[in-house]
Amino acid sequence: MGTATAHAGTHISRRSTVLEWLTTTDHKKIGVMYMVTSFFFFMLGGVLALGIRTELAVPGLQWVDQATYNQLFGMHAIMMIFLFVMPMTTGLANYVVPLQLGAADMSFPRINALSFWMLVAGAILIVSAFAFGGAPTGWTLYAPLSTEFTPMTGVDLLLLGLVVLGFSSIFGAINFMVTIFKMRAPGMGLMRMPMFCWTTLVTSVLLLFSLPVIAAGLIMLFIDRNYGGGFFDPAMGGSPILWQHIFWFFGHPEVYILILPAFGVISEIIPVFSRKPLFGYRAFVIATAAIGALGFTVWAHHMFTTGAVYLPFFSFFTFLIAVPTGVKFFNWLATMWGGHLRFDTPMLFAVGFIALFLIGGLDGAFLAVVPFDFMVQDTYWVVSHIHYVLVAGAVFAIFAALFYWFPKIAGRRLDERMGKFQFWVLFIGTNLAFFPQHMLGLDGMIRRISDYSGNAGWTELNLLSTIGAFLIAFSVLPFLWNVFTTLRKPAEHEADPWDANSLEWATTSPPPPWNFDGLPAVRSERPWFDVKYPGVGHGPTPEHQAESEGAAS
Amino acid sequence: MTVSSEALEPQQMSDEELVSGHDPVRGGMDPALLGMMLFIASEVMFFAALFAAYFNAAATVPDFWALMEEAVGLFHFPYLPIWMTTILITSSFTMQWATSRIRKGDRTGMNRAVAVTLILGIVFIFLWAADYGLLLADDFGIDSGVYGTLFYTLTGFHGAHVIGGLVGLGVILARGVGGQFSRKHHVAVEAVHYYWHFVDVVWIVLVIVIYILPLMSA
Amino acid sequence: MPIPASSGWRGRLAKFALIPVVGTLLAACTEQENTNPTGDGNAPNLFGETSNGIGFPHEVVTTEGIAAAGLYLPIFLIAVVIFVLIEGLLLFLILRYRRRSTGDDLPQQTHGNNLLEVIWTAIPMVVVFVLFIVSTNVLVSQVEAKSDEHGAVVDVQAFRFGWIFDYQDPASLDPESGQYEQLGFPPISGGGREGAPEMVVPVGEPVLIRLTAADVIHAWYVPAFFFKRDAIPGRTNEFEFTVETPGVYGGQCAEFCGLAHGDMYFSVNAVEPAEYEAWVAQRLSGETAPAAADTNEMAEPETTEEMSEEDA
Repeated sequence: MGTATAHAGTHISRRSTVLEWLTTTDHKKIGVMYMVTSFFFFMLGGVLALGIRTELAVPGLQWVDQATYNQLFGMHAIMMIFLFVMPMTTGLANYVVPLQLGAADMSFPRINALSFWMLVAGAILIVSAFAFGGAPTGWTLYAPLSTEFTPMTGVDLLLLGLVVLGFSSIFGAINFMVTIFKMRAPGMGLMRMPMFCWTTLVTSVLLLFSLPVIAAGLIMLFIDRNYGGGFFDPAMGGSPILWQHIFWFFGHPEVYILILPAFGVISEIIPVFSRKPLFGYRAFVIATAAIGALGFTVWAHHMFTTGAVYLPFFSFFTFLIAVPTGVKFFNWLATMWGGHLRFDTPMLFAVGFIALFLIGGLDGAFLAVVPFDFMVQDTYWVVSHIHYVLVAGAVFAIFAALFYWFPKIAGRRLDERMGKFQFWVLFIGTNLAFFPQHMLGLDGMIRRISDYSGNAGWTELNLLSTIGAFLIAFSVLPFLWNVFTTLRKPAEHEADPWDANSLEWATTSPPPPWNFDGLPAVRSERPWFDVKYPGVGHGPTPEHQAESEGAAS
Repeated sequence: MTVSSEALEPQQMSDEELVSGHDPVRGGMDPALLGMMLFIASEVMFFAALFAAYFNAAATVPDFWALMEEAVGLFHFPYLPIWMTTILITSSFTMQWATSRIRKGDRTGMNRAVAVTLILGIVFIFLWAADYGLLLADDFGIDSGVYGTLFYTLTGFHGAHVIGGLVGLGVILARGVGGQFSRKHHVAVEAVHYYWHFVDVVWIVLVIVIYILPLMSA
Repeated sequence: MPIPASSGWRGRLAKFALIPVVGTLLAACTEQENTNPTGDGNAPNLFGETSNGIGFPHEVVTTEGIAAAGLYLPIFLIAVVIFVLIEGLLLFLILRYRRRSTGDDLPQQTHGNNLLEVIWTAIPMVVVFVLFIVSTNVLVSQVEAKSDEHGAVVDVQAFRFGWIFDYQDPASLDPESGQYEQLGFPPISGGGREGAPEMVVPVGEPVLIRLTAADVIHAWYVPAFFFKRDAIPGRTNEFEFTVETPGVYGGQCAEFCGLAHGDMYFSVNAVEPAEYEAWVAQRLSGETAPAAADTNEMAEPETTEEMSEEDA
C-alpha cells in the first residue's frame, strides 16, 4: 500500500431504502442496479445455452423439438448481447467513470436513471416474447424469414424491446460523452484520462452512430410485418439484402461496443498488478480510436457469401483492423515486461483474457480470407470465434472488473481462493466448450441446427463441447457463493486495496454520495499513484509537491 | 493532498461567450447543448438509414422511377410541398429570431417569435396530415409497393420529429411566458433552436430526394 | 486478510460438479428413442467418408475448392507461429516477473518506446497486407473465375425445405438475353432427410449453377467443394465449380430458414462425362429416376400460410 490515505470523510453511511434505490439518480447506485440486472440475465442466457448444448451433446433430438430449439439460440444471443454484456459494461462504466474523472456524478443524472429503467422495460418486452410464440429468427432477424414467415407476436415484442434498449443506450452514450468532455478534474486533459474512460468514450461514439441505424431497421421490419410494407419483400420491389446491410452496419460496430470496454478493463488491471504504467498510452488511445473508426468499414464481411458485396474492400479492412488490436496485445505484454507481477484474481482473469482472446482474434483473421469464409461461414467455426472473443474475452474481462472494483463498491474484497477456483474452472470450461468447435466448423457442421448426422463423426466433439458448457455454468456458482459470503462479512473499508493508480482509489470504499472530499492534483494519467510515489512517474517531485502545497495553503 | 492550483474559478469570459450557451465554468459548449448536438447526430444516423433504404431501392428496383412518377402525379404537386417547405423554412427564421432576441435579453420578443414558430409548425403538421389523407384516398398507402413504404416511412418519421420539436417549442414557450430565461441563462432555447434547424434541414433533403430528383431524371 | 473458517464448501461444490458431467455422459451412453433418425439408412452420408480427421479441412474435390483450401495450411501455420510466440512470451513474463518479495519497491516505470511501437505496428501490417493480396488473388483468379463453356448448367431454387434442380441446355445460351433453355426434362426436386435430391454433374467440366430462393434466404453448401453461396429470393447468384474426383458429395442448407433448416440435405453426384450423357439421355426419354429423389411430398414450395404455421 502507498503511504498516503484518502480522506476519511465525515459522512455517516446508512442503508438506503428501497424507494431510494428506485428513485435514485446517483451514478453509483444506478451502476450497481445495472450490474445486478445484467448478471441475472447472464445466468438466464446461460441456462438457454445449456439447453442448446444439452440438445447437441449427441445426435438425435433429445429433449426439445425443432420449433423450441429455434427459439433458444436466438434468445440466448439476444440475452447475452443486449441484456448482459452491454448493460454490464454500462454499469461498470456508470460506477467507475465519474470516479476516475474526479467528478461528483454523470452530466445528466436523471437521464442516467431513465436509461436504466428503459433497460428494465426493454428486458420485460424481450423476455415476454417467449410467452407469445417466441422469436425463432436468430438474433440476426434476417428478412424475409423475420417478416413473412414468423408471424408470431413474440417477434414484434422482441423488435419493440430492442428499440427501447437502443434508445436507452443512445442516451447513455450521450451521457458518457458529455461527462467525459465536461467533467474531468482540473489538470486532467484527455491524454491523462484513465484508459477505461477512453474506451468508454470510443464505445459511446460507436453506440451513437450505429444504434440509430438498427433502430431504423427494426422499425422497417415492424412495418413490413404489420403494415404491409415492402422494404425487404422482393415481390414488392424490396430487397432482403438491404436488411443485411442495415443490420450489419450496426452489428459490426456492436461487437466492438462489446469488446472495447473489456480492453479498457484489462488496460486498468495490467498496469496496477505489474506495478508499471501502461506501456504506450498514446499508441493505445490511437489504436482504440482506429478500431472504432475501422469498425464502421467492415460490416459486409458478414455478407461474403451473399454474392452482393464488393469482396476485396471488406476483406482488406477486416485484415487491417487486426493491426490496432494486435498493437494492444503488445502494449499489454510490454507493460508486464520488467514488472513486479501480482496474481490476485483480477490479474488472473486479465492474463486469461490475453491468453485466450488471442485465439478468437486469430480465428477472425482466418475469416477475413474470403475463400476460407466461403467454407466456414454459418458453421461452428464462426460460433467458436464468437465465443472465444465474447466468453474468453468479454466475460473474463467482466469478472476481472468485478473482482477489481468490488472492494471499492462494497468496502470488502472477494475471497481470493474462491476466485481462483472459479477462474480455473471457467478457463478449462471455456476451452473445452469452444475449441472443439473449430474442428466441427472446418469439417462442415453448420450452425442453428438442433440435430446432426450420426455418421458425420461429430459426436465426440459435440459431447466435449457440452461438458465444457456445463463447466462454464458451474463456475458461476463459486462466484455467487463468494459474493454472498463476502457481503455478510464485516467491511474493512479499504480505500486502496490494490495500490492502484487512478482517482477512484483516492476516496473511501464505498465513496460518499458526493464522491470526493478533496481531489489530488492531476499531473499524469496516474494521479493517485503520483500522490503515493512522488517523483517516480510523471508526477511532481517531492519538492514540487511541497511547493504547490505551500502555495495553496 | 491539495486541490489543484488550477482552481475552479469561472473563467473570464466575454459577454458574447456568456450569452451563447457556453459552459460558465470550464468554457466551451454548455453540457446540455453538447448533449443536444450529440442527440442530433444520432438522429442524423437514423434518417441516414432511411435514406440509404431509399437509394438502395432506387438503384435496384428496375421501375423505381416509373413508380415515383406515378406517385408524384398523386402528390398534388407542386402546391402542397411548396407550401410545406415555405412554412418550415420560415419557421426556422422565426426560431433563429427568437434565439437572437433572448441572446440580447429580450424575453418578450423571444416569446412572440417562439409562438409564431409554434403556429407555423402546427400548420405544417396539418398540411402533412392533409397530404396523407389525400394520398390514402387515392389508394396510395404504405403497402403500395416499396415506393409507398419508403415514402410514408421517410415523411412519417420526419413528421414525428416535427411533432417532437413542437413539444420542445411548447415547453420553452411555457417557460418563457412564465418568466424563465435571461440573457445568460437560456440554454434550453439554444438546444431547441438547434433541433428545429435539424428538422428543417431533413425536410429540405426530403424535398430534394422525393420531389425534385424524380423531376430532374424524368 | 482473514479468510472464513473452512466450511466444507469445497466438498459441496465438488459434488455439484459431478451431477452435470455424469448426467451428460449418461445421456450420451444411453440408448435414446430418436424421433428423428439421424442419417442411418436414407439420409446421405455427408461427411464421414471425406473427412480428413480432426482439425483439417475436408478432402476437397473441386478445382476452385482445392485452390481455396490451399490457403488454409500456410495461414494456419502463421497463426500457430503467432500463437506460440505470444503465449510463450506470456508464459515467460508470468514466470520471470513474478513478484518475489512483498516490499514496496517499484520496478522501472517505462512509459513507452517509440521505435518498438513502430516496429510492432509495421510488421503486422505487412503480414496482413501479404495475406490480403494472396487470398484476394486466389479468390479472383481461381475461386470466382468464370468459364465460357460449361458441361452442365443447373438452375437451383431453394425453398422451405428442399431443393429444385432445373437443368438447362449449356449450348442454348442466348448472348443478348443471357437466358438458357431448359434441357428438356422436368426439374428434380426433393427435400428433407429421406428425400434429399441428387444433382448429377460431369466430372472435369465446369458446371454453372444459377441459384435463387423461393421464399426466404437459404444457402447451398457442399463442404467437399469448400464452398457455399446464399440463395436469396428476388436475386440470382451464379457460380461455377469443376469437380475433379468422381463421387457423391453431400450438401446442406447453410442459412437459417425456419423449422426444418437442419433437414435440407441434397447431394452432388459427379460422374464421368460418358455416364453423365447417358443419365441425361435417360431422363430425356422419360424414364423415371430412382424413387426417393423426386416423389417426395415436399417437392413443391408450400403456400405462405402453411409455411408460417410450421414455425409456431
